[in-house]
Amino acid sequence: MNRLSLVVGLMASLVSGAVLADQVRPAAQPVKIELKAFRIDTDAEGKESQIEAKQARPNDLIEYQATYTNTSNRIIRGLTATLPIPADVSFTGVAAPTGAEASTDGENFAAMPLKRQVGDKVVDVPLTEYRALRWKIADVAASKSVTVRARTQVNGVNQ
Amino acid sequence: MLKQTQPRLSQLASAVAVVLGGITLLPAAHAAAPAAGVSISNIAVANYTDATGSPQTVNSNEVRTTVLQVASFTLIADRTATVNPNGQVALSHTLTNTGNGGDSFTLDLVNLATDDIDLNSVAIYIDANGDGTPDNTTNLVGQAVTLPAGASTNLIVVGTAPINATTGQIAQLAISATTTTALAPSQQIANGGAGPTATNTDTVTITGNAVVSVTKSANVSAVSVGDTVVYTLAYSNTGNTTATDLVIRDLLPANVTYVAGSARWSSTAPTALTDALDSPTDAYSFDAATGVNGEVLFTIASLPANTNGTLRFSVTIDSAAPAGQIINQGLFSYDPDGPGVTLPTPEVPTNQTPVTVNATRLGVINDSATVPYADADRDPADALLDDTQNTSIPQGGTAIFPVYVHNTGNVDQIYEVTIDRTDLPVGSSVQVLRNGAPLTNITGTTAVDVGPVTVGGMVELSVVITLPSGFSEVGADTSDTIITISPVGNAAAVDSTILVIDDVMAATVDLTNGNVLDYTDATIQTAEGEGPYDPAIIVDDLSTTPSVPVTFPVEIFNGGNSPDNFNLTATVPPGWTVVFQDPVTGQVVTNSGNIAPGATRDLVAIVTPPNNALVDPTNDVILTVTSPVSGLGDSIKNNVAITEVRALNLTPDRQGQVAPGGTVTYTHTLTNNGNVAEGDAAGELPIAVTTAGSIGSVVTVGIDLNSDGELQNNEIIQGNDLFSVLPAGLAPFTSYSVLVKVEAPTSAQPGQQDITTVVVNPAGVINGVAAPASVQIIDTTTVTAGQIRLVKTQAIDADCNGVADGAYGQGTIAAQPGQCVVYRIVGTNEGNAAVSNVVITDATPAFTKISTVATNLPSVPANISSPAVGATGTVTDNVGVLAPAATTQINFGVKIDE
Repeated sequence: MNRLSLVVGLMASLVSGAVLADQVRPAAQPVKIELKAFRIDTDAEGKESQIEAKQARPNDLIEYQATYTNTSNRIIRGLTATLPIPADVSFTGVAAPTGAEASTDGENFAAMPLKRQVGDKVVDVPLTEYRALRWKIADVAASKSVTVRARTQVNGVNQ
Repeated sequence: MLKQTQPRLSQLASAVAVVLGGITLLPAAHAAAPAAGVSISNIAVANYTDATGSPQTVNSNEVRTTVLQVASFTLIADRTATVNPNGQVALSHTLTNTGNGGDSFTLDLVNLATDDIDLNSVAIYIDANGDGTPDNTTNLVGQAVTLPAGASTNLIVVGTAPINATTGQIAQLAISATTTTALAPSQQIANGGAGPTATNTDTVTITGNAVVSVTKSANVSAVSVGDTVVYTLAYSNTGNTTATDLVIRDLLPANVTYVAGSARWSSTAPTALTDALDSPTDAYSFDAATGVNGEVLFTIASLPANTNGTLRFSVTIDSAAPAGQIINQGLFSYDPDGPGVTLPTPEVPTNQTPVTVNATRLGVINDSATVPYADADRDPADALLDDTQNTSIPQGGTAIFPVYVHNTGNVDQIYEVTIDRTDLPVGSSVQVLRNGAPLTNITGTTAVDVGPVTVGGMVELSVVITLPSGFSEVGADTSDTIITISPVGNAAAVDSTILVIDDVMAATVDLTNGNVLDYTDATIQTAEGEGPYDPAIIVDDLSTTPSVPVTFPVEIFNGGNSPDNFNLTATVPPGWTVVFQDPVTGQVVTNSGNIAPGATRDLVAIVTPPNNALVDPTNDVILTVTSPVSGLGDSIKNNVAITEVRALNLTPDRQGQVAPGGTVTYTHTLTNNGNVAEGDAAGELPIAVTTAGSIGSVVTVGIDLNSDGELQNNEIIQGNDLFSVLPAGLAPFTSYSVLVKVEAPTSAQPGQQDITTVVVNPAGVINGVAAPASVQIIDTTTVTAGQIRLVKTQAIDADCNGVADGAYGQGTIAAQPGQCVVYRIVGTNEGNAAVSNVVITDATPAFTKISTVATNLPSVPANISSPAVGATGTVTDNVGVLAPAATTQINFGVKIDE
């Protein structure tokens, strides 16, 4: 059912290799990332509250907040913040700041909403297939931080 | 399978065309709820460019969210039936746990009050095997039934109609199931709505006619894919009259395939049925075109009271059937009172018959996104099926392999991922990424996991292999990494794929003199120093003289794949020095700093020969760069020729007094400041001594070979040629004391004066270099009646305690920096008359400072002045009158600068 030919995906992953290549380079990292997960609860009046999502139930909203801090005393240029959408949760379409790009494979990103062609029609890719979001933040000044957010929903039970 | 795959492929191709490099599509996420207790893990990633222009990646902390339980279940369905007075009715229901964790349900059954009559002896019995009949006689009313997540069971409600019930009366029963999991009502979802209880209402109508029931069963309750299941539909007429037109249908569910010709009808002995719609041969048919997998249709024209029979047919479980239950139920209707009286009954379902398909936990990992072949299917000769990926990378580079995990089992599956990296060089790292993020450990074992992968689905992973930056290897030996997966729950079902790094092309660094236009060919060796170091190639050749620096340009080219930096060193003859400088800022550097791949850095090497460098056309200066990161290095060899320098020095002019008939000896220093020997042949260092004046003194000139400050016979220059005393000549950078002894005749009168001039006038051309200029000293000698003779002696005072370590003498002594020298100056009136206004002065020599303040003897502190300890300057003793034959003495010490 889900067997796909991913020839294009393979090529794309090779192109992005330059970024991955340095992933394991030992160096003092001037960028620190703190990722937090919050469960978003809405009370009867529609007011939201958030607590750290140590636990969640199916259908609960989980907001991921990743804070990127430039710990060096120099400007960091060309920062790209990537936030994966984990398995078992689905992106809800709510993300901040605006301008995020999305990907269904974590490697090839495009502006939201993602589109695909089915038959002779171009349709939106379901949000449940989004697997990562990316923000191009450009420059982060010394000692400054940037936070990105994305809301997801734990996949629900069959009813 | 093929039929399902093809449309999907064309859909993918279209999608790629539309988004044009933007997105590739992966299988839709299986949106089933995660099981209670699993962790949802996430890691954020940043990419940026660091100060050297290199792309960098950093990962965040991992956050985990544990999934909690939601109680969700269904109880189906509302049922209807007919029954004769005093007859028993059985109504089948199905309870399914649709939540994400195990749950327990309390059952209840009540006769509703809003109907005509109540049934007697009502009870709920379990029918776990789904054959339509109770498994036992335990009444479950008020009892609990426990079901794992996703499981279901049949429940049979039975009751007996009152004997006095009349036709058309209705009895209603409510069966309910209530979750016992303590959760908020919003987390309890019964039959799709919030709340803990699901209820079905059964409606039983009293009839005096035929009552037909049909139950369905399977011969097995659990099967594996490919197995055959025999379904039996048992029908019976428990009513009072003959039923006609009993129509039994069975729409086959997904994931099964009807076995042609398998139908058997039996009331007494089995009778084979044909699948064709061919009444009156038989009233049975199988229509493959109806529904998902076809429909069984069987008609019994007449079923008398108290008769029964069975219909059997077989299906096989499809290979793609997912683990879990395949639920099937038949449908039936009949005419309870024969043709033409009332309409046939509405079609009602039989009980549900679940057959559980066992989980088959399998998976393969390979190099194909499309073909889920296993290790057993490997074919090294077939590029599609070799299960091996090869690549070659530059040194310091990273190999990235896409690998694909295919779920070939029938249940959504998590796989443990293990990495065999024993063939990789020490210091290598292997990362496995999914969606660009490192795999995490979902299951709590030591291995990372990938998944869940949906049934028949595929997940692409990226394996990022980074070898040590200093590692390179070209040839038959390869660096292999084996990635192995095993399904969680079936650890024995391992499957692997092989990732091979064939060659790691050595990165290069090239050190040249900068006159290289193109560094593209790393093997060529040129006169500019391009290519590997060749000690036979002199890149640059410069000439200089002792202590005069020369400057060589150097250029470092980083031919590697990643930024690198290089330590700068040089190999030179002893006494030579080399410093590297930034040619723009003049800053002295010992390291090149980071050089981007393909970039160059220009420096200069400043080479200084020592001040005593001898003439030598060949002095190798080997400049070397070595990377502390990659270990790469290169050298070039330059040459510095030391050319000839000729120079003599003769100092100083002296003055002295002499008594009539006395002598005075002047000491001078003749130094060869050149780097060739002077005067090693007769006539090369002629010396001319002339004396003019009124004394008529006799002058003797010699070389103080034994450094005793006095002339011996063998030291006296003969024939006005230094060669007479120094046949070896003056070696480069050596000095000799030249003693000039002036002897006054006894007839000399006070006030008479002689001036003695000593001229050394080198002659001869050495290696084309003309002789240096002549040097001379002038000594002035005056006759005095009261002749004061000053004799200065010295001694070592190594520990600087102000006391001479040995005897004082006039000869040369050797002292090291930090040691002290004590001086003694003795003035003697060798004349025959008192001398007045005697002032004796001396000074601290160059590179020394006072260590012992000057004193005089006889001690007259008021007369002596001296620099303080640590200072420099003049020592003065105002002796005043010095009687004939009297002496005065000055003592002081100096410390040689460190």
